[in-house]
Amino acid sequence: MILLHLLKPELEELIAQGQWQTLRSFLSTQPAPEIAELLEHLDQRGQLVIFRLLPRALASEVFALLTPDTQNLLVSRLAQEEMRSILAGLSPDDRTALFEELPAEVTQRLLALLPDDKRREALVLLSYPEYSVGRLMTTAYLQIKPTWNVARVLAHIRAHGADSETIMILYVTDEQGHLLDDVPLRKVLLAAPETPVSVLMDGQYACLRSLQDQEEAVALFKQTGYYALPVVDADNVLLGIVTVDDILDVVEQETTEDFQKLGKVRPIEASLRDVSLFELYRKRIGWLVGLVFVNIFTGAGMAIFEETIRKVIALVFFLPLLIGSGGNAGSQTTTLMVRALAIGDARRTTWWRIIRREVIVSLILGLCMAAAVALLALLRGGVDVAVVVSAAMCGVIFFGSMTGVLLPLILRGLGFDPAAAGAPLVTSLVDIAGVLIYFSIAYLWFDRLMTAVR
Amino acid sequence: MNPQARTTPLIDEIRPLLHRHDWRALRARVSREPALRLVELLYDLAPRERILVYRLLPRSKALEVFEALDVEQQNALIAHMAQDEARAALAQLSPDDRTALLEEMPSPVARKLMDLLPDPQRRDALMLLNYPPNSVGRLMTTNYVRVRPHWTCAQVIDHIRQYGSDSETLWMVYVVNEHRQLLDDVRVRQILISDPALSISSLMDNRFVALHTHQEREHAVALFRKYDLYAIPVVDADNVLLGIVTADDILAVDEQEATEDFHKLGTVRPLEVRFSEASVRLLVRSRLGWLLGLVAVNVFSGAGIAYFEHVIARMVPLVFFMPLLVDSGGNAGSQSVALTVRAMATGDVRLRDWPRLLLRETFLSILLGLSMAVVVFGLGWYRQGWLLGLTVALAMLAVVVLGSLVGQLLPFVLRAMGMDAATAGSPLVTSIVDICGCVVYLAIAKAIMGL
Repeated sequence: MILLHLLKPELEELIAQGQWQTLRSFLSTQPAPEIAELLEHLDQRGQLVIFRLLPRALASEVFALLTPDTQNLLVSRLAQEEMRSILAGLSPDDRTALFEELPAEVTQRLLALLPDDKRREALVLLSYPEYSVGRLMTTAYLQIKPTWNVARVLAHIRAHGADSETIMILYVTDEQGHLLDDVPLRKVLLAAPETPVSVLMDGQYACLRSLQDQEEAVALFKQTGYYALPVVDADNVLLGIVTVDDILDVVEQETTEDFQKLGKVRPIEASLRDVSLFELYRKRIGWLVGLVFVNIFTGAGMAIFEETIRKVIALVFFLPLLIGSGGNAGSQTTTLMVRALAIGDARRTTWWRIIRREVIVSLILGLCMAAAVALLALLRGGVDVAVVVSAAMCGVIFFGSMTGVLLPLILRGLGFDPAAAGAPLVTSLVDIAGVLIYFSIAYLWFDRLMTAVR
Repeated sequence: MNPQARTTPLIDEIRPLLHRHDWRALRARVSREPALRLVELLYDLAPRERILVYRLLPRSKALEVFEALDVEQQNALIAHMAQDEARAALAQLSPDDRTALLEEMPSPVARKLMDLLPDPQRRDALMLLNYPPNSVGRLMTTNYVRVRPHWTCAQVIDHIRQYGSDSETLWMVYVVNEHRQLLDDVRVRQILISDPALSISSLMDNRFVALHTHQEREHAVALFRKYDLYAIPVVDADNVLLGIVTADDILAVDEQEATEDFHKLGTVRPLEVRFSEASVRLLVRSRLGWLLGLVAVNVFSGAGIAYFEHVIARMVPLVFFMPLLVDSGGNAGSQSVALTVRAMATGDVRLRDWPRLLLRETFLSILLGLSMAVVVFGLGWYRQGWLLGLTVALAMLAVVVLGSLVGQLLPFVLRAMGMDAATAGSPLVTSIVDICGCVVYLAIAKAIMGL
């Protein structure tokens, strides 16, 4: 950020003057994320110039941090040789992420630039389904054998450690590649050089399956607090590792998705800043129009009570309030439930307790709201309206809250995503029910009861 | 001569201030005294007052006093800080006083505190250092390895063997100078694969990322995202290395912050405990506020509708569309609030982006509004004829545009005013749309249908 805000004019001047040597030596002392951020804010020419000046290793590091759009642009402008060295410098998981984002034909072209072994590896990683653990894997890790001694392990690290993403944990496999254990580097360093690896093993390790959902990986990382977890296939053969930095990105994406779903927007994959108007339109119009059709029922419901409304127009003054309150109570509980389900707080064993508790909470809330609205209704519509409105308020709050708790649970129980359908469904249900509750009570009070009294 | 004045003159001046809880005067008074007299004073005070008075000293004075103590006394002071008593003493200060009066501890004190105390006690003592509740300082742990630039790689590996047994994160070692100021970080990997005789200084590139104790933890989350790191060192105002923050703690922090944002957007005041464990009382308290707020809003929207009572009386079917209109405006608004608040939280959208986003939202909301208007026109026509259709369609356009624009702008306004964009986002939008929506609708009806 400092680089970007303080030095951008100076850097642009240096580019204009062609002071390549100065630029190069300055840039090579800067951290990669700063350079990546700077590049995002330069024009196309500037991006290309600056990127070409970077030392080779730094260039790959910076490239991995750029947005897909900028990556795409560089891919189209850089010469094959340049691209080859950048691709070679990327870690396998960053490479998968890049290929995921690029158009298919560009991916094909880039794959051709990779040496055979790396191309095979990239193809394998790309073959895992989207949102599976396999897509997050990197193959840059260290494998050791139980028969080795510590000295051999250290020698192995010296020889191969430079390519691996993390050496904090080493993975012990048998001859067929089955994962046997994980050994922290600390243990290896603390042991005498002639100690065999098998002595350091405790047979306790956590691992992920390559086809598992990424959300499950997040949960395991949270539970274990590890920096990296090994990934195995169905036969327990070690395929790669997933590191915590990628998990942080997954968490961010999934949380953002949940936010959008609760806000009744279909998930948007691009950055909100850059997403196009029509994309946004498509993602938002769905639920908006959906709700109009719900209104066919709400409207029809109200039409039944047309006579009652005509008699007591003051009832209308409180209609938006009742609908709004039911909707608010519903969105409160939907939010609480959806989030609790997402972070693994609400397990099946606690569902029943949560439901029972909500009955009490929503009754208390309903009574408080009824008391507050009774005062208002008394002033504007008289005693009869006050009775009807507060009774309806209590009912609407209760219904809204319970729907918000139950619906996400039902959706989850049926195997659907509680966030995606939860929020709009709750709004719709509460809408229809609110109107029916309100005018039914009004009808009972004004038409039946009053006639009976008379 | 007054004998009391001769024996403890300073303590007699201090005592009344302590009893009156006049922290500002107390701080001003002790700041003027030379360090040696303060040492005397500290030992005259009761233990629970001692920490309080010490913490009120300005940073430089606190350092002088600490240095005037011998090592034994220093350790006693530190050990004392970890006791419940000391925390209770500091709890007397109001949060405002805390920020205003308590300065950061001098580096040697903080350093000793981090090193001497065992883990659980240290967590408590970190609060005493007055790092704000959501600051990086509160997340620090000491499971890391410190090295000096002139050491060789072989020496470092020996050092790790000896002291690194607690360090889960054998990922980086941190290079410090003789004052323990952070110079660089070096990967353990690099040390292992280098020539054992090579000195650490030759592996240093002086490129490193560090956090400051007082920075917000959200900042730490952003830094972890940006740099793809497993651990980040934490330094104080003098660049002295005090600890590290690790990625697994950040994962937990991130989850908490996101949950807070979710709750705020869902008009629930953040719970601070797990939802499954929250009590009925807590749930009622955190939810009732915004619900009642909407009742208060109805004072206005109800009055607005009442003003058009005669319009409704003549054309009751107008009422059938009221819930739809209010909801649609609210939905459009909460869409843009949710998108914007989240994009702000992840750093995707910044304050300066508002003109562009507002412009896009203007076009977008007109487009959305028109689509909705077409659909709802048919519905109105079907129920009562094309005049009602037209009225409802126009009102729909107005309400969707209004809701979207308010929803887009509000998070920026709140952020610019230094408030949390998530706090008031969706309920405020709902309220504004509620009041304006009904009035606009009925006013259009009056004009078009001549009622």
